[in-house]
Amino acid sequence: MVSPILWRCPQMPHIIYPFKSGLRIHSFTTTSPLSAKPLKPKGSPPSSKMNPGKQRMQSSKVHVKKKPIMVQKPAYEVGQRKELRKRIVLSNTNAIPVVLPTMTADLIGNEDAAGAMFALPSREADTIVDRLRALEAFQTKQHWPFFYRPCTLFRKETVEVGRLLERVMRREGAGEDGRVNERAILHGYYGCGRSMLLLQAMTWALQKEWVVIAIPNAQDLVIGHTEYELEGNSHLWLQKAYTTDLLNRVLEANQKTLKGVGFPSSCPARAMMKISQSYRLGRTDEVQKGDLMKTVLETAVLDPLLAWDAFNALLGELSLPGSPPALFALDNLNQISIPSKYRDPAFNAIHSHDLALPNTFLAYLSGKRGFHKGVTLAATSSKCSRTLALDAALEGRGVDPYERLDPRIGPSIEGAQIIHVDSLSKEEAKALMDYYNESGIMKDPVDIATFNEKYAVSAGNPRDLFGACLRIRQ
Amino acid sequence: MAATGTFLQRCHRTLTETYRLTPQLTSHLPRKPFHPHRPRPLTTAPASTTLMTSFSQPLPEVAPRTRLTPLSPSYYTGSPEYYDNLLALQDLLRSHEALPTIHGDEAPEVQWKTMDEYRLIIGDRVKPSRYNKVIRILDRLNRIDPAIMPAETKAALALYTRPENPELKRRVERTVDNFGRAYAIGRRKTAIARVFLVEGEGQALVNGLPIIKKFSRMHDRESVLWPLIVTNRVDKYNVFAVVKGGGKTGQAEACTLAIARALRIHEPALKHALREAGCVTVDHRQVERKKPGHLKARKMPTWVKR
Repeated sequence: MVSPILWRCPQMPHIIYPFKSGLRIHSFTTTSPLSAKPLKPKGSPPSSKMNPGKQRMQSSKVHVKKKPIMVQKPAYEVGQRKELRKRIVLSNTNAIPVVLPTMTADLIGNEDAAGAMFALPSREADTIVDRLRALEAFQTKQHWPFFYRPCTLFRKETVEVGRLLERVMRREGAGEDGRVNERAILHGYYGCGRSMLLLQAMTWALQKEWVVIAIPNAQDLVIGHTEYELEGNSHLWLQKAYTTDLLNRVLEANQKTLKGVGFPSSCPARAMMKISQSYRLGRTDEVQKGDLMKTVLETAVLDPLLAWDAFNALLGELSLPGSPPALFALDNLNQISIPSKYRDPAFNAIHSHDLALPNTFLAYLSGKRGFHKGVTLAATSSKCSRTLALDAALEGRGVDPYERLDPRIGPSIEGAQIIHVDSLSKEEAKALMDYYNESGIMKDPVDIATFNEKYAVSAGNPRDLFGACLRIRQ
Repeated sequence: MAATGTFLQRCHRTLTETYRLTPQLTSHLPRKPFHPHRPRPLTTAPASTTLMTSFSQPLPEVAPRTRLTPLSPSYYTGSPEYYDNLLALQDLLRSHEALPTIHGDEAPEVQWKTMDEYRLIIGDRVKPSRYNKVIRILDRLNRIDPAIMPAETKAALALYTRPENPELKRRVERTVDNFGRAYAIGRRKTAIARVFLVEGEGQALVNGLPIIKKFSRMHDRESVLWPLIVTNRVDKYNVFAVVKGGGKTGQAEACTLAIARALRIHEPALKHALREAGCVTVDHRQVERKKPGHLKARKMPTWVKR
C-alpha cells in the first residue's frame, strides 16, 4: 500500500494515502479564500434535495487526523526468542518448600544414600548452582520451574557415577606414570535421567574443586551453526567461536579452582595453575612459563583466534602431574556420531569426528589422550535418530560385514565403561513421588494404589513418572 | 356376537397366551384410567357400559352398534399383533419395575427366540428394530432378582425362551493351567494379542521386551495395563504378551482386552469392574475397505458434467 519512495522523500513528512485524496481536495486549494466564488444563497438546488453547500462547509471543517508513520516493531528482538527458549528457571516461590538434605561431596559413592532426594547446595555462600548454570548443566526439559529449589534423586546409577569420581580421587588403578582416567558413557531409554546424572557428577566435581569442562549439547557442534575453519596441521576443523564460548563457561564455572583456592600448599606452582611451559596462542601471541592459567583463559576469551590454542593449553596442563583433577562431560553423544551439517570446500559432508572439539572429546573418551587425574563422561540421547553404528558399539556387537556402519564410531568409544541407566526402582520412585506430593504438584495422596498405578504406567521412567504424577485426574 | 368373537381372536391371536387376556392375572392389577398404554377397547358404545370391561369378557350386547369397532388399540398401527404384544410386555415390565434387579452379567443365561421364531408367534413380518425392542424388555425382565421373580413374569419369559440345546450351550470353561498361567487372546483393529497372566509382582513383557521399550507412549502403556489398574492389581500379576499385526494403538488395546479376559480367568468376580472400565466389550471396528469406483471407502469422485 505504502510506496517506499515516499518514505525517503524529505519534502513529504506524511504519507498521502491515495484512497483518501478525495477528502484532501476540499482542504487544499491554491486560490485564496477571498477570490473564491461567493457561496450560493440557501435553498435546495433543483437537481438534489441535499444541500451541497452545507455539506461542503461541513466537510471542510472535518479535521482529517493524519496518521503518523508507524514502523512496525518486530514481535521479538534479535535473540530474544532464543533467550526465552533457553531460559532456565530454577525456583518457583509458589511451590511448597521441601526440607531435604544437601547433596554434599561426602555422598560420593555412598550406597546407603541411594533412593533418597537431595537438594543441590544453594546456600548463600555456595555458588554451586550458579556455576552449574554457567556450565549449562540445567536443561529446560527437566521441570525445574515446578519446584521451590533444585533437588535431585540419588539413584543407584548416581552411586556408579560417584564411584568413578571416587576412584580418581583415591588414585585407584593408577598407571606407572600415576595417571588415573575414568571413562564412561551413560546410556539408557528416553527420559531415564542421563543428563541428570551428568548434572550430579558435575555438582560433585565442582564441590571437590575439580576443573569441569562441559559441552552441554553436542548438537550445537554439528548442526552447522558456528563458524569453522580447517587447521592445516591436524586436518581438523576448528570451531573457534564455539571454543571461545566453551572457555568462557569453563572460566566462569572454575574461577575458584583456577585461582588455586583450596589446594594443598605443598605444590605451590600447581596450586595456582601456573603454566609449566610456554605455549603459542594464535599466530603472534605467546604465553610464558609461569603465567597463570586463568590469565591465559581470560585473554583467549576476548579473542576467538586464540581460543583453540588456549583450550589445548588448558587440556595440556591438566594432563601434567600435580594438576587438579578434571571432569570432561558431553551430553548428547549420538549427535557426534552422525555426519555433521558442515561441508568442506568440495562440498562433501564433514565427518563429525573431523571437527576438532568432538575429536578431542572422543580422544579422551577412547583413552587416546588423558588427564593426569580425570573423568570423561558422556551421555547418549534419545532425540537423535538412526545412530546405528553407535548403537551397535554400545551394545558391543561386532561389525557385521553386510551392514554399512560407520567404521569410525566403534573405535571412538572403545574402552569406555557403559553405565546402563535403568528405570527407577520402587524405592526411588516412591521417594520421587513423595517429593512431588510434598512440593504440591501432585494432588493425590501417595498411597499404595496410586503408587502402583503411576509406577506401572510410567514403567519406572522418571520423565513419564513426572508426567503421570502431574496429570490432573478427570 | 360370533362376528365380534372372531374379530377379537384375529386381533389378539398373539396375546391369547399372555397374561393380558387372562382375567385372573389382570384383575388384580390396579388400573389407571388414562394411562396411554392401558388397553382401552375402541367402541362406539356408551362409555358407562364398556369402559371397564376386559378383552376376554364378552361384550355387553346392550350397546347398539353403528359400525364394527376394533377392540385392539393398536388396530391402526399397521401391525396390531406386534404392538399389542409389545404393550403387554411393557405393562408387565412397568408393574415389576420396582423389583430389585441383579447385574446383567449375573442374570441367568437365556436364549430368546430368534427373530424368525418370533415372527411365527406374531404371525406377521416384524422388523429387526421392533424385535430388538422386545428383546430389550425381555432382557430387563430377566434381570429381576431370580429369588423374588413373580410367577407371571417367569411364565411370560418362558414363552419367549428357546428350548435349551446342550450342543449350543456347551462352552469350554477356561481355567488357569498347571503353571498358574491364564491364557487369553484379544483383538483390536488388525492386532492380535496373546497374553499369559501369572501371579507376580507387576512385571510386564510384551514381545519379550520391557513394556517401556515396546510402547514408548505413556498412553499406550496405560491402555495395556488398564484392566489391572482399574482393579488395583498392578502389582499382583505379571504379564507376558505376544502381540502382532496392526499399529501401536491397536496392539496396546488388543493387549487390554486379552489381559482383561485372562484376569477374569483368575478372578471371575471382577467382571463388573472390568465391564465398567470398558475392558469386556469387544471393539470389532476395522478400517472399511476401499471400493472400486470410489476414491476411498465412501468418497466418490467429483461429478463432472461431461
